[in-house]
Amino acid sequence: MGFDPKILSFFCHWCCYAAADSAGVARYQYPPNNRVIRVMCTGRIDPRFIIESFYVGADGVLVGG
Amino acid sequence: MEAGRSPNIEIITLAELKELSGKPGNFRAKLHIRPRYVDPLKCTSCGMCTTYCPKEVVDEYNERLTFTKAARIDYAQAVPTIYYLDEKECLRLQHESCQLCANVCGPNAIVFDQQPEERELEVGAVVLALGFGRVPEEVLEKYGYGKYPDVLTSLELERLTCASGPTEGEVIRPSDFTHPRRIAFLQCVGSRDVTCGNGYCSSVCCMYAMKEASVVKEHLPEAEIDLFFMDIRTQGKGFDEAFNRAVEKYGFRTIYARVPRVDQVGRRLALTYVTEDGKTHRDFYDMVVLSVGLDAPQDAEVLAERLGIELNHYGFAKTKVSTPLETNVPGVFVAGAFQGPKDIPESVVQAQAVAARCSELLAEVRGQDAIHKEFPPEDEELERLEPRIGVFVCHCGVNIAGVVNVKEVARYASTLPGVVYTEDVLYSCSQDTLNELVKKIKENRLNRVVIAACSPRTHEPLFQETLREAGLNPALIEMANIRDQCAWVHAEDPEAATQKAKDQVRMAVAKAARLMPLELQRVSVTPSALVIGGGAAGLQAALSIANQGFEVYLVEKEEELGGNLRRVTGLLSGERPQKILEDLIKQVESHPKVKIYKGTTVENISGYVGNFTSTLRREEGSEVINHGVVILATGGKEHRPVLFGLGENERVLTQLDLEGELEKKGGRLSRAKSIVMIQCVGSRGEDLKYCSKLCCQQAVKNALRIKKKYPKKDIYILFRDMRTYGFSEDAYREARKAGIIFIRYQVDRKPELVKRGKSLGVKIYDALLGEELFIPADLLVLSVGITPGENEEISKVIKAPLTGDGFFLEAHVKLMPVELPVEGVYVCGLAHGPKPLEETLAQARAAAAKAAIPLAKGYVEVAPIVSRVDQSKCIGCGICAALCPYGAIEMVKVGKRKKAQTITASCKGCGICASHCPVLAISMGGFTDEAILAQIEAFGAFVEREAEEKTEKEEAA
Amino acid sequence: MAEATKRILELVGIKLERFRIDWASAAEAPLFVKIVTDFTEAIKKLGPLGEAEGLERETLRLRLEAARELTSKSRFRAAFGNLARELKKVGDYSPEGISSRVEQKLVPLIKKELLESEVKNLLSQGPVSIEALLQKTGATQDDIVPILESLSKKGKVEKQGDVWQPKAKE
Repeated sequence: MGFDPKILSFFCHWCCYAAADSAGVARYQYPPNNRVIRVMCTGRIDPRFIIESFYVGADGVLVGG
Repeated sequence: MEAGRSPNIEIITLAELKELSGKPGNFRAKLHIRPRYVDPLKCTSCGMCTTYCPKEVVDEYNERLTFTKAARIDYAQAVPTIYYLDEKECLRLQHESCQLCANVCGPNAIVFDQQPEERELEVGAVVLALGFGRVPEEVLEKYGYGKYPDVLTSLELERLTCASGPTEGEVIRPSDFTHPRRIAFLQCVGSRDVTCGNGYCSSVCCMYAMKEASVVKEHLPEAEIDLFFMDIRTQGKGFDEAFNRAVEKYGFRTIYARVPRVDQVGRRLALTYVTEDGKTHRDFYDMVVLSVGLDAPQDAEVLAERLGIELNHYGFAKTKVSTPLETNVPGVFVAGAFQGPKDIPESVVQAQAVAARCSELLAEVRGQDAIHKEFPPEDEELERLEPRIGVFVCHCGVNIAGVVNVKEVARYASTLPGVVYTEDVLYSCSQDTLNELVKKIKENRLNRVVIAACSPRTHEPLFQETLREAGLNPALIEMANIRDQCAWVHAEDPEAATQKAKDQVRMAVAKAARLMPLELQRVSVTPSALVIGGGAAGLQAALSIANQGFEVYLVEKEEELGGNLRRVTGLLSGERPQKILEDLIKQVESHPKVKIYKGTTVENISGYVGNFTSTLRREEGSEVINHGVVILATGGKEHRPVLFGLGENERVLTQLDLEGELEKKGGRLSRAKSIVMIQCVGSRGEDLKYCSKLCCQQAVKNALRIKKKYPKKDIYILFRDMRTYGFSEDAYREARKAGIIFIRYQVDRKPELVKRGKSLGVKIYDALLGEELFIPADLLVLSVGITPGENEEISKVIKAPLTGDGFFLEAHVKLMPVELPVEGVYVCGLAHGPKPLEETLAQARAAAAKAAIPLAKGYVEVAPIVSRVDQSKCIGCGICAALCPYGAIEMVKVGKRKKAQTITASCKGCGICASHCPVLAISMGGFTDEAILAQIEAFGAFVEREAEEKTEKEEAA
Repeated sequence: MAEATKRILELVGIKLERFRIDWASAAEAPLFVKIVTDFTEAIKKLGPLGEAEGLERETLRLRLEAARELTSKSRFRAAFGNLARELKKVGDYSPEGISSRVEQKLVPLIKKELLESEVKNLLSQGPVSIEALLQKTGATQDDIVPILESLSKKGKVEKQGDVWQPKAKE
């Protein structure tokens, strides 16, 4: 059985989150492993959030500005 | 998007203005509206019609490089985001033979028998923003376009380099689909070319060619790119710098030559051209890109005739320097490229300016027909209860339900803590479902709502409004994006997509439980403006704001109004600048709403948008004023470099000095036989790194004026690139015809001043002759450029950044060209950057338009995503205040201690303050630490569940 | 933010490949897809958290717990915030500039605080030998002894033969 990583993503409302929406509109396909938390700006992201994400068991954390 | 959402803007597409009657303030406009064949109220823009439409048609939006369908939307970001049937191509509409789209359309939005509509509107003003047209194909054919497949237009290349374009961003040769290794860009195709009737310069192509070439290099790092120019015209703010950086980074070769034709030799394209040294070259390329100009809009003539507006000899709207937005018909205005070729920032400036112009005209009836929505009061008691969460999972027709098991997601949601109601709905955004939603919220006493559907970016405002209708605070909603970021992108794996949808719903529920009602904050506004600077920009801005009905304090540091314009004595258009200035001053001085302070400086500006307080200092004493907004029109100064003997030798003048001489009878000018002008003295890399944009026009103008007054005088203009962009190219041509001699000098061989006894002259290397020339100069006129005024001091006071060159940096070059990053502060004229009078006047009105928004509203409304400081926790370290990019946190004294405090009106909700607060005293509206941590924790449950499942499986095994 | 977070992860022992910051503008859907796809692939290669790191679940948890405490502590947060302020003031956002400042001003604090938390947490579970502490935290004797001594000075722990244990409350 292959390993299915669990990835938590923090996306900026104006940039990556918008890009992710556009990817949907264009029906691009990508692996379904990430879960998304929207923030207004990557400036919001506190080191705590990243550590917490790993603490609860994320295999990877992606911050998208 | 924003325009599409405003309740006070109705976008009428597929429409044509047939007739206009009445007068300013009271027009009747007759429209003919063609059918769309799709009901805009029903269409959910799911795209099923396009998927199933059997009729392939050439995709005009993608420059005919690919195919699309008869049922379509031209591009994903189109507003309104509603599909349409292409009348000419649709099988049903043409042959009555197909109705697949109607069959697959979930919300039944297809209407085959929709009829054209005639509509009459009552309007106060009309703005013509027709844009620009295309250069005719015959012009392109001269360059082998249409005959050789690898000759492309710049527009085609634009689509090719676009990631969502026909090749997904791959740059390939249409002839054999290979990557081009050598590419040539030919400038001025359909511009600066009288043989095709377009004698003007299109103003934007040099810059866009550089941009496109750079994008190509990003895709194909190996490509060698040559750009063929007549002149490099990158005169905009910061453009020279960007251009030079690109040339250096990507190794572009810039060649001064006009390539007359393109030939195909084997599989490559041959260019034969003559460079400025007279040598003939022949080079081979894999692709040739024609940088096509901006033509007059094709339908302009018809409309012009209907409305009775005058066009210039190129077919663009005819306007004056003093009134760049006005046609000859009162109440009918223009903006954008229809007024003359221009780039995006200039177009946006004019668009904003024209809004001010309309607002001036219609000031008396402002707000009369404006739509304000009313909402019931919030049920605060309900909001205070423990979270009672309702989850609505949207099918979006088959868009979500076709992949994600929506029923299962809804079932799962009902098991989550705090959830008291769950439902799956077909289209959550349809009007009837929204009404249902209001009902369900009330029936089930829901105080938090989770909508699992599409993107909050597009739909959250809609649902927020629905919450308000149901008597809930709009902050109490959270969306789970299970369409754009789930069903659509994981269509091949329904199981994983369903799992992801569940997780996102769980995370949304976790956040929803921690959402708090947020007050939509309103800050009242002092309805007056402070305009700093009484030059052309300041005068025009002050006048516009006053005409819109608001008080203005106009402050000029000198004893006289007028600024630099006082020294200008002629204009290319034939208008008299002193008359323009006089008129402006007269209107401003006689306006009851303008208070003028001459010989006054602004000492202190404190406060924030809506509520500024400033000290005005005069010799006699100072005065403190309150105002809602600030316009910086502090102007610029003539640069006076110590070059070519300026200031030492009385025969050496600047162009502005010359404007004065031209008004005199006799004097130095009348005695001079030979006059030499030198461009870019001290500019573009010497004292000033930038181009001052207006000097080339000014030199040509002054040369022509001399020639008219004294036809026998010899005039030489020594230049690097003649930047007579737009219609001033006509004057450049006229000057050459009039016998004014233009000689290009090389950057590394600049002209030199030569003194021979009492006489002066200039030594210059002539590339064509290959030798040095000596030109006697009885009068040497220098184009010296413009330096920023005293911007630095104001910049510090107001916390608005400057560019490296010392001009004010706008909040966004294209979208917010007159706004500064500090809210409530606007810039126009030379304080923003060097520009000619016409552009200054337009920009001043643009600033007035933006400044009038808070004044007209009377309040500033702040999205509740702003930061909030818990002052009982705050230790007053000031880190947040230092880091805030918008100057939105101030340190205030509370008792004996310093505490941080958010200036709500300036906050953009980025959260840098919160993420850097040592004591976690700052929370962000809608994005609190608790909410985000709850989401993370909820994400964790997914991990745990997987682990459990794994152990279970292992145990079972 | 990124640099500081990376250094903490590094000290926790988590491979930096697991944390990525990238940029895609609203118009760059294909780029976004590439970023997500590449990142997912990279994580797939690394395997579950801890595997590529060679860390046991328990150790990982211990260290992450310490990191959690660290990132909420005002001492760390103040240093972190001040550093950000300093970077903004000098306007040096070059990778080298940031990294050297983080190294100088933040890393020693991170190291010390992390270790302290880990030691405390381990001790709170019962008596532990120095060897076990060294093994679980991955620290050196020189690092650990001062912490233990300071804790015992504060009367929080005591040495009982070979093992250290939390001091019973009187």
